[in-house]
Amino acid sequence: MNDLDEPRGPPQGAAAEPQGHGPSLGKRLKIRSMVNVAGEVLPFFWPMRNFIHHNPLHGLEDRPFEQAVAEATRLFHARGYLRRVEYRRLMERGSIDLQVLEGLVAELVDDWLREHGVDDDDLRRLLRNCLMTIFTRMDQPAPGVEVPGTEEVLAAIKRVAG
Amino acid sequence: MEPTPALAVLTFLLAGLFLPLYPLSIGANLLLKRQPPIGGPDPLSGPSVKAAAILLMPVAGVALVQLGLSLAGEAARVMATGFAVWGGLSSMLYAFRLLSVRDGKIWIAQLYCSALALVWIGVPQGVPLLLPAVGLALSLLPLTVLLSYLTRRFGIARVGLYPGLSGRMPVFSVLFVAAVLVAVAVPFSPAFFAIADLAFGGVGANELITLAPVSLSWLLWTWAGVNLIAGIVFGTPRDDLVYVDLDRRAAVLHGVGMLLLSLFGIFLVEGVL
Amino acid sequence: MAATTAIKPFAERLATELTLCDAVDQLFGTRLGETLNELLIKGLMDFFDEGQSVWRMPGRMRGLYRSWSRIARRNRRLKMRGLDVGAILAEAEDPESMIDFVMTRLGIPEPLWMDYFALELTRLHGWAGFVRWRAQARHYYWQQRNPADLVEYVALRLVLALALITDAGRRLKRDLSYRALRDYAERHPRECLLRRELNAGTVLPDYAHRIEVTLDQGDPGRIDALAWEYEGVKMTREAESRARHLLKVVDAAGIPRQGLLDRPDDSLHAFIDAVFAFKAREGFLWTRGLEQTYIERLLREIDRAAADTADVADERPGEADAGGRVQALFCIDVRSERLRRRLEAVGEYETFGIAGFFGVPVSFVEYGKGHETALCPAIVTPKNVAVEMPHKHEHHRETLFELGHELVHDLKNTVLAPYVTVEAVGLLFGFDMVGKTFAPAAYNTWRQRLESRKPPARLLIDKLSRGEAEELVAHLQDEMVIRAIERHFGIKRESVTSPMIRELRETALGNRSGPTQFARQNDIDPAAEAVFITSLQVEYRVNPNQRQIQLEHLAKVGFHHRRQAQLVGTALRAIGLADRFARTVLVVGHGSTSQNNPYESALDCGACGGDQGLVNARIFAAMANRREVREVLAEHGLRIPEDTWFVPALHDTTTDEVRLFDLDQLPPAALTRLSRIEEDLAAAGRLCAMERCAALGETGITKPEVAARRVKRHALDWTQVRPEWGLSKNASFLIGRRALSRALNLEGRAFLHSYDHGIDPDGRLLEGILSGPLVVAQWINLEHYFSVVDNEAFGSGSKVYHNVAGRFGVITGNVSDLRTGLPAQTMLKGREPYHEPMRLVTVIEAPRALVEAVLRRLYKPRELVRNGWILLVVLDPQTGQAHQYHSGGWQTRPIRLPG
Repeated sequence: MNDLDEPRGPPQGAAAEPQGHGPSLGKRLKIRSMVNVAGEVLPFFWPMRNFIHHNPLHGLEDRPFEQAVAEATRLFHARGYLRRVEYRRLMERGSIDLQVLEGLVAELVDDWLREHGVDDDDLRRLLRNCLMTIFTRMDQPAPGVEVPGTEEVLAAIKRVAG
Repeated sequence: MEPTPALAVLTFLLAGLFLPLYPLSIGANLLLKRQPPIGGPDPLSGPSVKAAAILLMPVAGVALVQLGLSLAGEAARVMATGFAVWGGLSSMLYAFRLLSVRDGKIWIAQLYCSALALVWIGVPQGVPLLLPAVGLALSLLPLTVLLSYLTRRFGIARVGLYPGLSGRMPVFSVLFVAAVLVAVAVPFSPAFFAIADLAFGGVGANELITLAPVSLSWLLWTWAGVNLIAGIVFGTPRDDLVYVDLDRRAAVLHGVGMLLLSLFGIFLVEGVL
Repeated sequence: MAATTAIKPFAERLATELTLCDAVDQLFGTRLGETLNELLIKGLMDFFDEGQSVWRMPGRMRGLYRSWSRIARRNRRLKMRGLDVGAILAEAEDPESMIDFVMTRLGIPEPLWMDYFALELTRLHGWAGFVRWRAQARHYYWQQRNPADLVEYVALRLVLALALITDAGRRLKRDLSYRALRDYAERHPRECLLRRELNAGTVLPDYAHRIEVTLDQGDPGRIDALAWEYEGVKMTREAESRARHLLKVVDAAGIPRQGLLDRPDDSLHAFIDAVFAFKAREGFLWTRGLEQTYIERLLREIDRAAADTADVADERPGEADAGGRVQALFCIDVRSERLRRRLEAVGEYETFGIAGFFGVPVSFVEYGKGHETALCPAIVTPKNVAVEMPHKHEHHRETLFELGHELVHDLKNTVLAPYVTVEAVGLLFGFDMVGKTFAPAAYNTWRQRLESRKPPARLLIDKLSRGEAEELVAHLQDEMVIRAIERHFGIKRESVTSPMIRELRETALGNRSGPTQFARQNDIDPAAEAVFITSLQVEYRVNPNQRQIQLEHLAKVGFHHRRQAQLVGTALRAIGLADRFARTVLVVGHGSTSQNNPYESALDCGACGGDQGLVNARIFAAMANRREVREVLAEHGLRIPEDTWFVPALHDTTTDEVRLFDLDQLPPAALTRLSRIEEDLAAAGRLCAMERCAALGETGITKPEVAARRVKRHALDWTQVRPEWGLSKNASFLIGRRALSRALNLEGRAFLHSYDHGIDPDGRLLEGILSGPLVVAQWINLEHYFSVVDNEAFGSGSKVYHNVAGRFGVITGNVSDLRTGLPAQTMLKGREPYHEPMRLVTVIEAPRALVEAVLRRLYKPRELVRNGWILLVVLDPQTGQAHQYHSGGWQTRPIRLPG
């Protein structure tokens, strides 16, 4: 009925050669494809008359979950996980088992130590202990914009404690 | 004394320094918005100095106006009307400028200028000026005190630097909101009665020339007041600052102080005292 | 082992992480970004409106860019703001050239263009996502009329950006092109730092005044010095706060401070690095904790249930009590789980789970509506059309009520309405409001009685023969002729005979020529007759072309009975129901009821494209009851006994009521069984309502009847922001026999798809399940996940502030990004998350080898499993092991399985 078989383009058609100073056809097509590729990370929005549940990170499904969430956090200026206090409340409700958490922390610590080639059992125990304390008992401080180097933090510790 | 119009005009102009008429208001403005400069502490910028200035300047101004009126003789009416118009325009100008101000000290200074310029409106109508002027001045005091508290806590009193105080400093926020409302002449603050007096108390009640500047300025003050509240009390609080609320004693002190001040102001303006 | 993550210097972040407008905002405290968004959104709302506003934007068929440009050139308000948009628009005609022009004028180097476009697109990801969807929705009516695509969107943004930057440059008396800003950032990095701190709202308050004054003075030496000092102070404060934090941790952990400080520096370095590295991964850790706890619990319960029922006989009831047995097919939706559990407890019911469209993708044309609705998952395109035909072809009489309703509604939408109608008509609205608020149930029933009912209709699902189709088209055209005669000449139907009508029709179609009997009878001269015939052809579309098109459309209607058999057979086999049919098989689709809820369709069936599942249920049941279909199925080995009857039903998930449909088509013997079934369904529904009320936090619920009334009220209450929790708290997807899950209380958190690996040796049926329903469930799961972890960014915020925009979406307030995702009331209870954010735990009861083989053949499910978007657990009945997929390998443990 409507002849919409041709690719939808401006009525004059991208095929028309521009006058003098405009960009060439090739350039215009390149711009077109750049925009479309740049837009691939955007999740579709269906009209709400028929609401479609959709993964907002659909465009990032080609990478592992944790990475995709980190990328989305950067792109959309959003949080990818709940706040610590909310997870703690889930734990109180019984949805998160303390032992399961301990097991995961232990696994994480082992991985990190292995990656950095450190084999210090004492440090391992210290880290496990401290991390569990942080997660279960400490408040989550806000991330500062500055990221001080390890040296500075160490110096500060000595200053404050000493 | 014989009427000497020229001297009267000079006296009025002098009064314009204290009951601010733009551009004579520069002096008052500068005094009130003085920040401690980078060099070090500055005695002239302390809150008590400011409070004293806010209370005393109008009195001086009113005295000068009375003097000027007695010096003017027959020309009093004409001169007074001229200055009243100037005052009205000046008040509206400062009220407009108040809308875009974010710094606490500047805010007080400009509100002072806007409010006390309205006193000139009462002059041709024969309204007794002292009480409204004092009423307007008294209404600014609680806010001055609380803004100086903010300056001491955070180093500066400014909209947008530390929003969301309602979450972290609730007691302070309540008092702050009350102080702002009193300052912008919400009904039952002394300032409200003061401007009611200025608008309706005299011979020229209900005239456009009295009502227009009063209404417009008042409208703009409330708008500015809401902006101030919205920027400081509401919003998402910053996580990297340390918030310490008013302790009980200070809160009670401030609260009772404000209440007493307001009551005093109301009674004063309504002529009971 | 330094852990400092270097934050890129500002100069580098320009155009890669910050748009130029953002950069100018950060440096000079302007509000270009906000203004750009506002101006753009206003334009978008005007263009994309789908019939909500009464004054429509003209010229929209020329496309987004062109229609917007035409108006923007003349927009005086823009000029007043100092934005010379007209001059910019004059430089290029089409959006690509405009993009080229703007980017060149801003001086951004070409290699950075694509990233820059990405930045611009993600600013308003709701609107951009909508444009992106529309660009590829070729069959969407509004896209056909008013086309738009991402390139035009970016062009609009860039035009406004250039206008704003030019204006800002004029006001600030600076060059704000990319090159200039970059130079500035590289030459005066400290000044930039101070400026940004000041404008970002993160400045240390006690330094704010000093920084301002120093920047105003403009002395570079002083600025540098202050910047050094400021940076140092900020860094020290941050370091100290971290140090204090660490010491608090150590204290709380019960470790003596001295012990820590005595360690060598290396060790302390490692300690500090590790702690801060883990804090970055904290969220993921908690998520895994949540998921793993759920998995452990689920496996333990399955194990225990299997042990308990080990000595009970065959899980499927035998032939002996075939008479009392009823089977029911439910949607995999999590809300069905409750009802299935309760129903099975109430009587002898055997329930199955299948995707809510019952394997029948169809485009549906409802009676009275002029468009097709696709009733299938969004990833499938239906190839067949089903039409609803009323039993009697009634002339639709408009009731007085409806006329009045329409009139009042139209009045509401005009600009002058408030002045005129408030006094006159306002009272009517008040009546409506009072009724709806204080007595919703009674008022709604009364309203429904006033509105004329839809006549009973049946579904047309069989293919029409050529003869039938032609007859139908002829009939339609006759109707058109009758109407034309009445409109044109005022002659009523009674005065016209059928041969006359036929003659007119044939003339219009060009099959005969010459004067018609109609004209002769009514003394119409040839000229007028010719005009009439032309009008028939053009206005009333009684012409050969149209006839051809209509015949083609009708050819798409219905399913060939072999195709019907194929669909029914695949569906039944996929759920493992290939034999031992009961005498009654309920086919239960689901939908929800709520008032004043833009998210109503989010509560409907996702497998049906956000619509109710009733139509699919009716179609499936009709197909499965057909004798011809059963004959074909029997040829392929699937024998459905003659006395088995499929009955469609609708499960209202807000009130848990189940209504049976198409009862007029039932054979009499089946009717008697139904009253008992309806009672059982009602009882089960009431028990569900009790569970539901507990979850909603309702108080004062003592008995199931009270609960049932309460949830019914939710469905009718227009002020209810949470008529039901919907799919919140969904956690898992179980693919296997009902025996696996029958004894478990899954609390309405599991998608259940019936599957019998025994009849699926090569995994084809499992393929269908994994590539369809699993993907839909994964979308649902992740939509909920992200809407709960950040409701403001990924979800749509509180419903209370929502306003419908253009009839296709909601915005917050009156100008904002198009809100995506689910609202706060669906995800949170107060401020606490109600939905627990975890990835979908997919449990498949099948041999591991089979699952691996199937995944090897399918691209998308494999990607999802490998990248950890769903968590896969395979319960292998042949080896009695449970395998969990983790980082490329399997973690195995023994488990007891039923049957």
